[in-house]
Amino acid sequence: MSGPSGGRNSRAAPRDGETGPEAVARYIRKLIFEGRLEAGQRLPQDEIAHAVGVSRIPVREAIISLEREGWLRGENHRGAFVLPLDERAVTDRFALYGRFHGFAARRAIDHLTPEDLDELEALAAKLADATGATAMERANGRYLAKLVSLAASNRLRAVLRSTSQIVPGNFFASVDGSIEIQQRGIAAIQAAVAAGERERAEQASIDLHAEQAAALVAVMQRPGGRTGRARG
Amino acid sequence: MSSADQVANYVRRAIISGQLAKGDRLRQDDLADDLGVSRIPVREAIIALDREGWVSVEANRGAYVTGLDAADVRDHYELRGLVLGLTARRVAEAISDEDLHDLEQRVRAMRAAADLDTFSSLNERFLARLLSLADSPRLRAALLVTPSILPDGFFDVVPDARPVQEKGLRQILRHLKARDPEKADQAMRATLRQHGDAVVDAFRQSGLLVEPSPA
Repeated sequence: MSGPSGGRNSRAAPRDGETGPEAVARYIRKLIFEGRLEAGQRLPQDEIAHAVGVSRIPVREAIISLEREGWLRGENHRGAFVLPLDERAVTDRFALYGRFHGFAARRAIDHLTPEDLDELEALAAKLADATGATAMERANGRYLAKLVSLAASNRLRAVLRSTSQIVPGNFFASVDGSIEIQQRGIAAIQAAVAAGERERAEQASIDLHAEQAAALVAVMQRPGGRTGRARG
Repeated sequence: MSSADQVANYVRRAIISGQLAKGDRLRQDDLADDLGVSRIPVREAIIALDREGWVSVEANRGAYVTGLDAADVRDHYELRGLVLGLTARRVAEAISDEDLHDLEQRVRAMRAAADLDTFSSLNERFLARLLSLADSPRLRAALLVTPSILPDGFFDVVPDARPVQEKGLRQILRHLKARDPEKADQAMRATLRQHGDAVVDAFRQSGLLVEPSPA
């Protein structure tokens, strides 16, 4: 059984602007991604509370969010159990993300003004020019946030908040080839949005996310691929 | 059902029935008293409802009812359709003849159901079976975030929903039988879109929608 180490973990403590439940959720996702919590295992709530330096209440609140994100399955009175993070889980999570952003692109096209399109074009151009994982993460975050805000859908925003990232930290730093995939995929979405083609924009988002899923699965299947970078 | 689930259902029903309106603040102490539970499940319910978009939690100020307009309802069913469509696609990719036969029996039983309660519970079991055939914890979780806007009484409140659902499921079964993931996905999405339109009509007639102020 490879549970989390028992001690207080300073890197798990809440960061600036982060609530207790958010810090707990981030810590649990990392433990699952790195394989330190295994599929089927009961979540050791006391150990986690201790490591993050919080009480049991924020741990229970984090569990509710993580159940909705697909990391854990809660069972009444029995606690929470870790769900597998395997190829199927990664593929489906990215497939959903692709669909939700495809929906964003379709809805954005419904409401787009020429000024909005200019702004989106500028963000897409920055993303196309970005070099390095840090710049890419920022440019990508801005482009997608703009697309989602142009979609003007409360329900979409709620659903996306429950679609957490799988890789702790910067996805583009951890997954080989992901920067080029993202640049090509966003360019395809942007071209379809600019042309006002809803179906094509949606399909471009679905294709992009399927490609990223395959790239991530390849990394995860490499020996040490889930913890390798963290350990240098 | 956990206490937190009960509290969440109670709040969803209050919003749907119009007892709670857009902008109303949820009073956690009153909720706890009304339902005879402690503050902890109330807090947990509010986190779930915030995740699902029913309420919006503002730091140090409390939770406010978000309110539903026609676009929210349509978007909701469209998004639920994206999740269920992917579910149907996964099932079409790998279903066995035996499981297909089981799904066909279930749809036949739904068509024979004498009343809406029976129909509704058979429908829930059909969807649960489809979800378990898709064998995907992530899809299961995504459906937790897009629960039915009408957790109970969907088919009572929306008169046209039963024929739409029966027709949709027959089409989906046909595509599953042909092992056609793309068409199974499309048929599921189209069915959910029709439900969205029907719910908008039903809510509009009972005055439950927040109508946008005229521009």
